[in-house]
Amino acid sequence: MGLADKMNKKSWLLETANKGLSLLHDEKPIIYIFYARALLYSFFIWKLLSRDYRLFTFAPDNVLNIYSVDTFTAFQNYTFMGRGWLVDLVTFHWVHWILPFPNYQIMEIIYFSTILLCAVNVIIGRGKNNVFSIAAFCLLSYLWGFNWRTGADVDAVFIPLQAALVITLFKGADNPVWRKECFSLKPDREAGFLYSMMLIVFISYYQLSGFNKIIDVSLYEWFAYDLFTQMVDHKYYALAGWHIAINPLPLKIASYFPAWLIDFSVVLVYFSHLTTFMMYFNRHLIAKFMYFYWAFHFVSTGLGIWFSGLLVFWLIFLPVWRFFETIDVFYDPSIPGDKALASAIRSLDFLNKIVLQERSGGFFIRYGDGNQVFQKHIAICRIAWLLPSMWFFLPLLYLPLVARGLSKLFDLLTALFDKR
Amino acid sequence: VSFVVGMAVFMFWFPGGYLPPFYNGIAGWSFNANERHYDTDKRFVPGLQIITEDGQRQWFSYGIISPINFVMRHHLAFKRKYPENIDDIYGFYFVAYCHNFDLLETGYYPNQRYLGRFSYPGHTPYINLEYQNFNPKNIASLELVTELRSVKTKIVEKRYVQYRYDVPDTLKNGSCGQNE
Repeated sequence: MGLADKMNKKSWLLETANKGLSLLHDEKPIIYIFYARALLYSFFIWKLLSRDYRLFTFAPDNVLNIYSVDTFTAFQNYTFMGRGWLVDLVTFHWVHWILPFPNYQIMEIIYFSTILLCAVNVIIGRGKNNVFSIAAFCLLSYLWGFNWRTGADVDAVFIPLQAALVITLFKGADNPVWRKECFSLKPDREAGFLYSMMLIVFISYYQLSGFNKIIDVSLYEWFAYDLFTQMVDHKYYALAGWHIAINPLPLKIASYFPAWLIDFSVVLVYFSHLTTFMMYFNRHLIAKFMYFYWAFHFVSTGLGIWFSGLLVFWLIFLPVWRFFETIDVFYDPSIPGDKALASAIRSLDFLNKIVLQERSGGFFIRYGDGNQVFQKHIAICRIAWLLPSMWFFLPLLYLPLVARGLSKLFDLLTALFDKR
Repeated sequence: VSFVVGMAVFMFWFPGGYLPPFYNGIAGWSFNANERHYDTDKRFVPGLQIITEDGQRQWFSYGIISPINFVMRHHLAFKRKYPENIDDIYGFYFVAYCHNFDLLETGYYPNQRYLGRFSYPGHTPYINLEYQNFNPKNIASLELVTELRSVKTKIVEKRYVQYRYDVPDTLKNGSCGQNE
């Protein structure tokens, strides 16, 4: 490699590192801080109300002594770090080196206190010096400690738990839900930092899984995974009276496609794991990855595996502020298509978030700050955020192919009306 | 940032990185079908079962011991680590069943106690099973079985019992583990 190549490589790396650092605090509206905490702790309330941790009080001590190092075989083992003493240290189970496990009544207090603390975090916020989020994190870690010592929990829960840790260490503004600052649309570096950190949590989860796909399985195995047969096999298990519920829908849909294509989707999943870091540098990819993983996790329900938490928790990236913004919509009344569109918007704008203005030169929208202007299907998508009757269709509008189709349709209609 | 990113990098470099809430990602999967997977007539169905005094059987759904997600993973590891105390884990299964029976007989699993059908599903969700005829007082034993079943009729053609746990009377007539 010549000196020029080395210099170029070095400057590319520096440029990427600089971009990464500048994106870390890429501003987001303050409302995101409230949204992130509300979604996170609501998620835990939902999960805790669906998991009765009091059950562990019936278990003898040895039943609660099965750590990851005991559970996993050599191929996947956590020989060094899955050890009891280390897991106990980080889950506050070290208290049981001295104290006995809680009885039913004490566990009930711990269990409902955790739920209450999650509710406090949603409504009041992290509290002075993050006292509420610290307490919630400690209790969540403690409760999940029982999972780690009984054969481990679903790996997907690592994402919300890491997100809880991020919020616990977060130093940005925080307001109770009754303060209007909580819903402020003012761009904020700290809110942007929180958003970036949530991205890093997701990327760590998927990216590290991607690296494992290189370490654990050969390239041959990437292409040898017989997913379609596995789905059919699970269907037969269900028919034979298995006690695990298999969602029949993925196989029904898969049956319309050639089996090799279904098998090839595994390769795409492995590859996607390796490319998740791109979401950080190109935030437009977040929605695409989200749809991809929603599809992937939907397919896994056909194998009796439900990643319900991940399906929901991807919503942490929902640009919730768009529901609250106001926009100016400019349209040319001499163009019949624009006029019809403006008329439809006027009739659907129940929240009075849109100001319609006549202006020659085509259809576009402009945000209040005047800096952001959008045309074509992006304008339509942004308008849909402000029209309650369109909220149901919002996820569809952002589907990659739909967005492209809409763009083409918009071009076609514009050309058609221009000719007239 | 440096802490969270540092932990992620550490998990990558450290084989078997595992320090809740950090770990080194889902392992690679592989699945190679063999002739058993292509069999359209029969399946070997594994699981735990409860058996009444008069010989009725029902699957012991893994939902009964939620929040434990990977029941068999836990079970096998326990068997490896405490082979001489295997009855301890079955005793726990029974007490959990007994404790949750009031809910199970209404058609709900413990994870549905508060939110019903809107509850967070189990990682490997459970089919709805009927437990009305399986009052804990009438349960004679728990068994770990593999059944050879017909795909078309669900009829059990053969049953292989790997382990049988006879429920002691003290557990059946106790208070389902509460306050004990």
